[in-house]
Amino acid sequence: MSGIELANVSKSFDTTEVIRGVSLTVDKGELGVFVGPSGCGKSTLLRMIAGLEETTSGRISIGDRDVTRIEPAEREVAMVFQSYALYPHLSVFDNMAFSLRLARASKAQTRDMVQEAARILQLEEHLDKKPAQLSGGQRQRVAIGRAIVRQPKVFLFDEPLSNLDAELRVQMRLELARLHRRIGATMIYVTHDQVEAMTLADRIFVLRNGMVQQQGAPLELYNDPDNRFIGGFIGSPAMNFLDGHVTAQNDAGIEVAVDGADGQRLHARLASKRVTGDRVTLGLRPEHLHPNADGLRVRMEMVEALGGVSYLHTRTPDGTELVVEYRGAQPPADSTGIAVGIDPANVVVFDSQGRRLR
Amino acid sequence: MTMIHNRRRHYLVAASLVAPFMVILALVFLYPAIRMVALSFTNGPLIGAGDWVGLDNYRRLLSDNLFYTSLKNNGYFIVLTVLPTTLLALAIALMINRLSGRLQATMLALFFLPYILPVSVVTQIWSWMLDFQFGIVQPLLAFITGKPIPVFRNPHWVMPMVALVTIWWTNGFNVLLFIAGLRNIPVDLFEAASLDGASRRQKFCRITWPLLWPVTALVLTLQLILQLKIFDQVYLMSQGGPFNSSYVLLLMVYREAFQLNNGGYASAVALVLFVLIMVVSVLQFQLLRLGGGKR
Amino acid sequence: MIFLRKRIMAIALASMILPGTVFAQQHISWWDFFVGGDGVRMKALTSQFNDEHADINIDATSLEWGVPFYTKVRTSVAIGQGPDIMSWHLSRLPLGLEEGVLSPITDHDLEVAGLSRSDFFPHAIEAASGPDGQLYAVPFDIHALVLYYNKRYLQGTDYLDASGRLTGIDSLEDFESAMAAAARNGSRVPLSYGTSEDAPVFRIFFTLLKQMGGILISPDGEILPGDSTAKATRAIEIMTHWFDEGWQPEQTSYEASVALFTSGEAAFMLNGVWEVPTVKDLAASGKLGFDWGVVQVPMLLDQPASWADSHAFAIPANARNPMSPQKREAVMTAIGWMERHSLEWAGAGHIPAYKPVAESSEFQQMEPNATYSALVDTAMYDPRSPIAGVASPVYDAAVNILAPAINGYLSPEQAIAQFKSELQSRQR
Repeated sequence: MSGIELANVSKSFDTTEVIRGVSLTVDKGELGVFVGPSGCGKSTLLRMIAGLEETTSGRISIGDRDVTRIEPAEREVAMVFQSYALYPHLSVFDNMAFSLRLARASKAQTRDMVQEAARILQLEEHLDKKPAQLSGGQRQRVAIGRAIVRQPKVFLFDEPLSNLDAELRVQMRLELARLHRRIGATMIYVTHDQVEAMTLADRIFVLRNGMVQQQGAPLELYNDPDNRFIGGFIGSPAMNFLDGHVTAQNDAGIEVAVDGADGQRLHARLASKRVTGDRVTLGLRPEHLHPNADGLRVRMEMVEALGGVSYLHTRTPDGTELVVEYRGAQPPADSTGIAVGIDPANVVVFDSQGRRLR
Repeated sequence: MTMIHNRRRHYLVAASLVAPFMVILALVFLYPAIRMVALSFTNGPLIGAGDWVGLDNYRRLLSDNLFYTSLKNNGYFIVLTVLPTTLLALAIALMINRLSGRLQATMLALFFLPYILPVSVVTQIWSWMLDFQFGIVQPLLAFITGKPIPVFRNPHWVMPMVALVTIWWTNGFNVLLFIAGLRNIPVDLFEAASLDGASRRQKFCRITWPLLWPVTALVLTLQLILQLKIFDQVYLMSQGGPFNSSYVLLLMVYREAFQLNNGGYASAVALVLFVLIMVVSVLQFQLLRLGGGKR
Repeated sequence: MIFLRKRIMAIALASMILPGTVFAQQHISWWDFFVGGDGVRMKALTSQFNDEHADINIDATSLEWGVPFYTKVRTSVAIGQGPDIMSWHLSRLPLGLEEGVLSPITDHDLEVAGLSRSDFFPHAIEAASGPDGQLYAVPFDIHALVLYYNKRYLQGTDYLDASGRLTGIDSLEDFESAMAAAARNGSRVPLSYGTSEDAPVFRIFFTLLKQMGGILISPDGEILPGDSTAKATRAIEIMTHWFDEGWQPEQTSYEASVALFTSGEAAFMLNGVWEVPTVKDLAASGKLGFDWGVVQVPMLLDQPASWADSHAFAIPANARNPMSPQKREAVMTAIGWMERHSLEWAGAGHIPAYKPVAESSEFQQMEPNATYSALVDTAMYDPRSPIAGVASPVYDAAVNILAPAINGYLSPEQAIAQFKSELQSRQR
């Protein structure tokens, strides 16, 4: 078991740079998740670690070994593909035994290792079937089994759950988490789904335009986003953003006049100095907003009642959307106007470029 | 009630859609085919009625040395073309598949080009290239064998050369089939195999070859049928000679029917060829499927 | 177009000027296999005929020579869709008779055409008649194998007389020493012919066989009966000997064999009379570069003989669609006219089958035709058998067995044995 280290890794296709100087570390036994919108380069980065894409510059190490120019097979990594990439002409057993046979493992050893993986993944009764005879979830497990059998230093997962239906996805997500705990291997998991990222990751790497925007433990990223993009990307429902300008500042923080809200003010805790009139964006998590008669007056538009919790979809006077989480048996009716307040300590402040102000 | 009604209407619509094709098929294939079978039991000319002679034509066929010569030559031609052209097409397809973009398109076009030529043009080109007096290939032959060779007039060279021309002519289509087959194999599988530690050769043996097998079986079967029907090239380049060493069954049909006006005997030969093609190709396809299923 | 419009106008005018006369023009559908120089001459003849006959219009179509032509005739006649008149090789008459596609030419027909049997050379009439003596085609020409020579290679030998004509070849030995002399004089290919093709090989083989008095197919269908097998073997031996001596080119196509002569590499060429215009035209335009001549094939063996065939006119037996007497008269009128104008046709090297033209002073002055026209007396037609004649199994066997044999692939004895059994098996 080894950790992974990327040092200033870049990749270009012709003249287009798709990965720009990424440096990151996934510690031994950690599950790191690459997350980001489509086209952010997360899959490319994973494939570079696997050796399926050439690295233009920089260094990739697995354990303490530089693998940047080493063939995929020699890197001791296993990968689970989005499409599963099961060999359609081989049985489940043969799919899982493929790499062992190439490595000329003994028959007994092959059988034992495949049996063990099949047991872990509950595939024992399907070993003689062809992939086409399996359900989506079973295929997924075969793909994982094929990876397990190799006993690699690192597991790589490329959006492994995206071809499954919602229910199965939740179930497999839990299974993966359990698997990680059980075998304790270093894993990198690529997804565009921030819920998967949040639930699985020891450490999340948010990518955008080929660069790591922020990395850290899931809750670190949630509570303390480095920029507006992270704030908006992590968390569901997403963080609300209100633009405004600074009207006053004291030791406790700033007072902000929200655009298009008839001069209504919100307060935010802030240490750094701002000048009156500075443009800022306030980030407000739905669960931090609560009804408060002295707060921001908003118009109710729709209520999503989920039982224990309801989401109130509201709009500020100028039409900016604001989602409020409401915990209580009886959410307010749609038609009523309400006022919402927030603890200044929970307000996250960004400058006009979207950079975090602290 | 409505269900039944609907189903009946369904059949009617289906029948009306299939009918034009069936009528045309019956008119231009089924009817002539039946007439041909009937003709093979008579001593009739190419056109007009003949007398019923029972199995005489078939009996005569079994004692006709030319029939056995032709049969042997057909077999020899199959050996010379079917497997070589399939393997060659596969090799070319694998090479082209590794190219990309415009270069790939250009190479594919180059290999496919001969296929669009009519047979008369193909044979003309090769007759010129291999002309004993003036052919540009003759110096090469002279260099290899020590003297120029009249390839289509030499009993040992004629069939291999006809096979060579045939392969040159038809290989492009097989290449195309293989390329289509190769493109059908997801790239993921090769990547997964790379990670599993497969070498280039192992990837070919364990992934490409088994997954391409249905295409290979198709190409082999199509080739077998096509090459059993060899006629044009022989007719145009060697006329069956020398010493009947390129005489084939269809040439026999042609000569008996159109030169000698022996409609009945020609039909018998044609029918035997038809049955032969059917039996051999079905047999081969079953064998290939069996071979593929075991993998 | 303009020409056609004029004719239509002429017809229209004629019908207006002659009110009351019903103007019935006979359309004659005409198929032939004449292409190249022959085709041009035949087209000139038909359009001249059309110009001279307002009441008859020949609508001519030229088709591909050989099996395709005869197959088309056979199939179309069988369903009554044949032409009104067609060209025919007399060597192909036996198969035509077997197939029943030829309509007998009666004495009345000949009368309408203004012809009689005695107007034609006897060999041609014989070849145009069925076993019962009934005429089935009207011979148009006699074309035969002849010997072309290049005077340059014979200069200073005994084989050119004072006026530059070929002389002194009275035996095989003479001919072979003439070839040897030509080789010494620098001829790369002393004797050119299409050694890899059916017809050229067959014509020479047949000529040699006939000069020994051999029989290819007896009337009862036996192939090379009696001592004819030995004679045929001898013929192949002679041709193989020419190959062994390097006198004849190895495996040469018809076109290449003509080119070898016209390019001045060959001293002799054995080929049909139809190549006369080719050589003549090249000489006339100054492109030939040597003096040449052509004679009938000399008597190399026991008796004079030359392979020969005739183009003829035949009327298809369209049984399902019989011809009206008026149309038949028009057809015979056209045939008669063609025969009387066959001097034009002789320009293609042929000898008219119609004696009044062949014996006319115009033809007697026509060179080189007049030089070799005497061959008609010893012209040898292909055997009367359905498996013989143009594009027949005999020709196939020639390219399949005889041609490779004379190029050294098989001994003459074995070749003739194979040739015999092959043809025997093609007979029903």
